Amino acid sequence: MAKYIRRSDEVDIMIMGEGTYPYIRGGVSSWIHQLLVGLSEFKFGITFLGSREEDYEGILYDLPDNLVHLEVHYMFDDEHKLPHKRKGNEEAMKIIQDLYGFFKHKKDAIPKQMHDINFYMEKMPYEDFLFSDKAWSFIEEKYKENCPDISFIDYFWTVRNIHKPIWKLAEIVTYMPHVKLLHSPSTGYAGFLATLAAYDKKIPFLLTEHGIYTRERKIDMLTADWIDFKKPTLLKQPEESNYIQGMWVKFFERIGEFAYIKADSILSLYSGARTIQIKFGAPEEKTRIIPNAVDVDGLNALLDKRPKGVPKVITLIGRVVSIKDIKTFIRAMRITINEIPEAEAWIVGPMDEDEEYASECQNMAESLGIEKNVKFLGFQNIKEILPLSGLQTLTSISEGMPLVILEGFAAGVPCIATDVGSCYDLIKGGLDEEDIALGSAGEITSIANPSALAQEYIKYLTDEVLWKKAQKVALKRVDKYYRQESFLGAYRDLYNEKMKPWPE
Amino acid sequence: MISLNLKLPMNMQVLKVMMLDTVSLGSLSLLYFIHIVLSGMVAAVGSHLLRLRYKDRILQSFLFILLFNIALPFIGYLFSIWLIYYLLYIKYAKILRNTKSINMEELDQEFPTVKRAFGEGSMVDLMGNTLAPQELRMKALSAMADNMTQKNVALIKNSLSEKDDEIRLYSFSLIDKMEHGINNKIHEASIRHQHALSPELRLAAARELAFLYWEMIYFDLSDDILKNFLIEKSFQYAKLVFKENMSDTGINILLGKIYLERELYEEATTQFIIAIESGIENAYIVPYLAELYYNRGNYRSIRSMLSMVDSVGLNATMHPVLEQWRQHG
Repeated sequence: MAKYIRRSDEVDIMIMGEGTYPYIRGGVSSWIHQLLVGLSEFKFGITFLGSREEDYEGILYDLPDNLVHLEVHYMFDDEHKLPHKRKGNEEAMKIIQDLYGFFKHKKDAIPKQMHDINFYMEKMPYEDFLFSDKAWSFIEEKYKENCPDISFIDYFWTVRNIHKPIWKLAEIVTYMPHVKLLHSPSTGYAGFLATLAAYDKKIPFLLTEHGIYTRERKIDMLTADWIDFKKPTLLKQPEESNYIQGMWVKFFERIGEFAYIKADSILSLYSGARTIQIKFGAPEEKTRIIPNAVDVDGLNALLDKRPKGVPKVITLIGRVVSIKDIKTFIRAMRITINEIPEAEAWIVGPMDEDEEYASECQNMAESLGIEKNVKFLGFQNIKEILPLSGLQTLTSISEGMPLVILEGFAAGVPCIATDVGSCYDLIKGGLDEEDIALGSAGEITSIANPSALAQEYIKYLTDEVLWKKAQKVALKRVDKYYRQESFLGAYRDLYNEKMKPWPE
Repeated sequence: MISLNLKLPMNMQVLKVMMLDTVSLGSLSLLYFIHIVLSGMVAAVGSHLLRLRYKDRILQSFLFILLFNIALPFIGYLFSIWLIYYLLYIKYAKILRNTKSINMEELDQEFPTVKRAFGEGSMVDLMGNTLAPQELRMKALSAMADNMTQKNVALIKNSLSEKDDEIRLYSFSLIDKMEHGINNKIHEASIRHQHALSPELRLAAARELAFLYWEMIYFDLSDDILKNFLIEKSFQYAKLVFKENMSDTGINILLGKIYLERELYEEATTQFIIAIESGIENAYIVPYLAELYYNRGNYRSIRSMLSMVDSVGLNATMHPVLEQWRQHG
């Protein structure tokens, strides 16, 4: 059941968000908010796709007036009533066989029924796929053919859980208001929804990827605990992968390709991400880079609030989750504090996304005896935090283009970060020769390397000349290449170019 | 007592006469009269006693015990009929005999065989070769993830500095998951240690903690800065256990390893010798003692020490070391 927070029949740009704005804070949410506020001449709509209602606290942003439509859908809410016994449609099952071929074998072309809403709503409704005799026989047959040595129950529920959201998405498209342009910040279910809508309503579709969704899901699946491979180890070939994991990975790869093929423009934040998109099947000619940007002038004003000298505070702005590798930061702090006893670590970001990890980090700070120096501040207004910070750091294992580094630069805070995503380009310069010539706005280290991080923290906190030089570079770089005006201008032009006029 | 003469005559007529003679209706009535009286007496005593607990049910108690006792012979007849039926039809589980031999013909023709995929010792080459196809390296990582030994963990850790995002992320997830698992166990054991209801439970939790902290060092899951901290923690808990039970072989060996790591060779020797005296197989301790003598420069003792246990040579890692010392030591 859809929930409408705001409702309009006419929307210029509909953004499809999977587990993001306005219910979750983070890089993508800030980016969407920035677009909404910065491009106030457009009427925006948001279709929020969440897991279950209880997983979200509520709306976390002040919604701007030009957000005229906000509908919320939960993909995995429990089924309340079961349909009656049914036989299923023979003809539709043949199409399902083709779809199955597409998902299983990469070489198969996308069957045209995959983007036909009528197929989901009429020929093969949700109840037929999940509850009919024919569907049961099909699942049973494929199980025997592909993976008879794993649990049938696991296989059956995987088939159901993977595909169930597709029918929900098809239903969302059916009731979608009039839209001129679709914009999805990821592939996955949001990208699939935008693709279906683009085919059905014949409207243009933009795809901006912050991280690479397909790759992130692949890593999630490969290390997931809930996918248990019950085949005895001694009977398993060394290279044999978990079939259930493979099903999920292939599914996300295919729906990613589906979105890449339909999207009118495929945008990324930096060149490395663009290369990965092409590797995952994005047609090169459609790809384009629009980097993140920040309100440089607004953040420059914070320079006046800075105290004299370099505060011995190292700030990490980000969610407390394992991919940010907060534990490496805490270890690095232990080494730093040995040299600079008054040094403090501020960890600024929500701690409720992975509470177990957050408590593990707190326990670690305590067990290393630095609980007084390491402060977990939760979500804070960065405008209050940045002027009091000497350095900003990111110890992540994976990043796209972190907005926080740019915000720090605009507020005059150099950054020490791991060599992931576009961090190198941001800190050392990499857009062009001129950018490289500007110099270093901090330092880059290898990942999971506390000693190297600590060495850089100590160097910058104790050498004011070096620190000031880095601050100067940071301010220059962000002003020259990452101003919000150019970011908003690029999207404004793209929206105007692609937007389909209202039908007469 | 009435005795029943059960010598059976040849024809039924004689039987009928004899039955009437010896077991007359009167004697049967007497038998049942006495049975009823005795049942009544048992019921009276029983209900009298039961009244202490069931005050308002004296009559019900009396009637129940009385009727139960009177009916007992009939219950016996019914139970016997059921027992005969049960014994006739019960199915016993098959007991396999002569299980020492396996009839290979009975096995499926397509018995699964596990084949080599990477070749012996190829993981090190593969993971260190950035030119190898990413897909193959991911498969190698996945194979190692199923078998997180010390060597495999070291290989996975090396992949953390990979340029390829997928390999790096997967390696990190594997290491993080393993570290997370041990940290969780440490956290749970610490709580049990703090809130233990008895000294035995407290000691058991301390023993677990000593080994868990050592596991972090063994798998090299911490960097150097944390290593000393973890060794100290493991040592503290091992010492606690040692104070209470000096002949806990596991703890003796653990303390020996900790002392060896800290280069406290006298103390390490003592702990290893206690472990040997506790009855543990020499082959397990000898490599540690040999390492200890080597570190102390006592090279002469190494050869004799290693020759004490032939089985050490069966270990693939130890074999060349043993041969080296045999030939040149």
